[in-house]
Amino acid sequence: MRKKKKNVQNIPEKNLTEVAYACDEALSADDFTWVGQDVEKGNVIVRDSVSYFKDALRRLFHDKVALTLMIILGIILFMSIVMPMISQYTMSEICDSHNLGLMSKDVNGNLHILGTDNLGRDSWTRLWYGGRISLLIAFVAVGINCVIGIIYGGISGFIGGWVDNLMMRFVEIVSGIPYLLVVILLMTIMKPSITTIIVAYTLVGWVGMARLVRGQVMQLKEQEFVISALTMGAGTGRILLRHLVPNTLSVIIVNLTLAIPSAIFTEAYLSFIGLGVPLPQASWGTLANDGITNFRYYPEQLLVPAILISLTMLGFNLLGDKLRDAFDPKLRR
Amino acid sequence: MLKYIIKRVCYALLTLLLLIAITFLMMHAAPGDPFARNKAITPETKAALNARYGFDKPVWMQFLVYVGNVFKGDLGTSTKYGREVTTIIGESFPISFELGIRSLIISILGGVLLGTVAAIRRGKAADTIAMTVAVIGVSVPSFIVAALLQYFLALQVNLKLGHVFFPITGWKGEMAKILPAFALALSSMATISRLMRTSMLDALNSDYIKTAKAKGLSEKRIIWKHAVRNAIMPVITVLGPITASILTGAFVVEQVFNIPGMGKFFVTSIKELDYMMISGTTIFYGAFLIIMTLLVDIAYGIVDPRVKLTDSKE
Repeated sequence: MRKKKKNVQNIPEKNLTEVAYACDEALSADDFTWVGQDVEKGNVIVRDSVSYFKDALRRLFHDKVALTLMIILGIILFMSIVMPMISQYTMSEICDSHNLGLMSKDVNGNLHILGTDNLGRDSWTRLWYGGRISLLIAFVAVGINCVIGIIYGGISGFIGGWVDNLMMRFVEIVSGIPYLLVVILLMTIMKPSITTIIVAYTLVGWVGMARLVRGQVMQLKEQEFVISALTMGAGTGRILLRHLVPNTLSVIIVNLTLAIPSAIFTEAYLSFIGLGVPLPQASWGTLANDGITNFRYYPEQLLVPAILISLTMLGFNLLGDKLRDAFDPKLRR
Repeated sequence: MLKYIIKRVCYALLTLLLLIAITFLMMHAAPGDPFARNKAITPETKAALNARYGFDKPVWMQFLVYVGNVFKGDLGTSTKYGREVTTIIGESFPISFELGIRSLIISILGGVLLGTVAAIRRGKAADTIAMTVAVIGVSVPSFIVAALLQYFLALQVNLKLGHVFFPITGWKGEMAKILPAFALALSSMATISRLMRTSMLDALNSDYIKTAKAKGLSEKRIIWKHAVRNAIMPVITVLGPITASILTGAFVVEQVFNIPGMGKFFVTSIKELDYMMISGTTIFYGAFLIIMTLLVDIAYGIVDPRVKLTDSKE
């Protein structure tokens, strides 16, 4: 039942507290009137119902920082895809002028936006070509890690018992080994290529995701909707794929976003110690590595790829934080 | 407590064994033949050589011998330097260790301080600045930081002022050790400060802080005696991974600053495909990190009263 206080609105603001105290003593049933109940009005849906993901995305797109980050990352991605295609140079084409500065023309009068490197290759083209390789490695490696991690963690968490025990012991042992050491080891015996880097990274990189998914699945599988699906005769695979995984999706997406910078870092690191993509291919890591030898005289050869590596990592790191906030039910408004 | 320690030690041993197995497999898969020389050798000689070095035995027996050698401390001989890998490690590791300890101290002190300040001044300028520094620190790879510091703080300053403040390369004197240690520390410092901020915010919102405030303790005492001491717990748990990242980061930082540490030898051996050196250093590094993680785990069990409590009840 709804009751309304009489006349409170009409009192000037400065007297409000006094009146409130006075009311406490003098209230009686007569002070209230029944205004009735509007059932129709109560049932009207004013706002569209918003699903969890829509809500999270809406909050993400309303966040100015997140929007800026997405635009920056989008530009980097777009340039990496398009620039090598429309550039008048190819990534291994050598012109006659070596180590040109920014915005300078070579002996044939062709403009090089970022100049050329010490072999006379166009830096601008190589930069975006390198971005393509770096991002490709990062996305594919993280994607594979994610799939392995979801399957492994999902099975382990869902089955539970001794299977889970055994599977998680294995994860614990694998994660005890510093992954960069293993990646370096693998890279030294395999022929350097993009595939090699991805394979080396994914062999040890899936562990984190497996742990995460397992923890989530363990929590979720006791909940009513899973039990009801079980009673209705759904199989393990269906429950895993249709019920458990979608519910862990927000955590997975956040983790994916945060895993990409670490993959970019690993690639750059490997390239830097000489285990990167084979020549004449380039990645941001190899470009930075090449740039260091010339750093004293041509700082831009290191700075430009370094800035792009850092900017991309920064973008994904911050975007991951923002996504986490957006998906966090505690922060829902 | 004892049960906990034994469990951790068993894990550490298994991990170490797995690492040795991977290294062993790598040595097996490595291209090339140890007896390939310019001169052709007869099958008999080759068989004799194989027998001499135990290569005629089945793989699992070779593996057991290898594991035995590793535990005896024999990591083989470097093909490039012609010296025992253990000797090279013994000479170069102290330098890397010093660099690592220095940057570990910088990252812990800096990280805890930044995180605490950010949490206390939540939402204010200090928070924004500290967290911006943290995000940048996480996002810029250590080799880039190293190269930039070397260029701007060493080379340019020395050129402009005509006086060597920070030597550009090398490991002689205190000043030469500052830049590499800082370059190595930055990303770990950033990680710690982010973690510290979160746990500090949790701690500041908890009931015992309210109690302390109600008791009338001073702000300083509440923060340093109560909040920081509790908030620092999660930082201890990441010390293992932090040590790992400082250690692997040292490879490139030593390379950039030309420090004669183990990382430089490791990177050189990778470039020269010196397999004995690679496998030896990997096992040494791996064992070192695994032991460090083990110690951190045990230390956490000792420091955190809650872990002890549950164990003593069992």
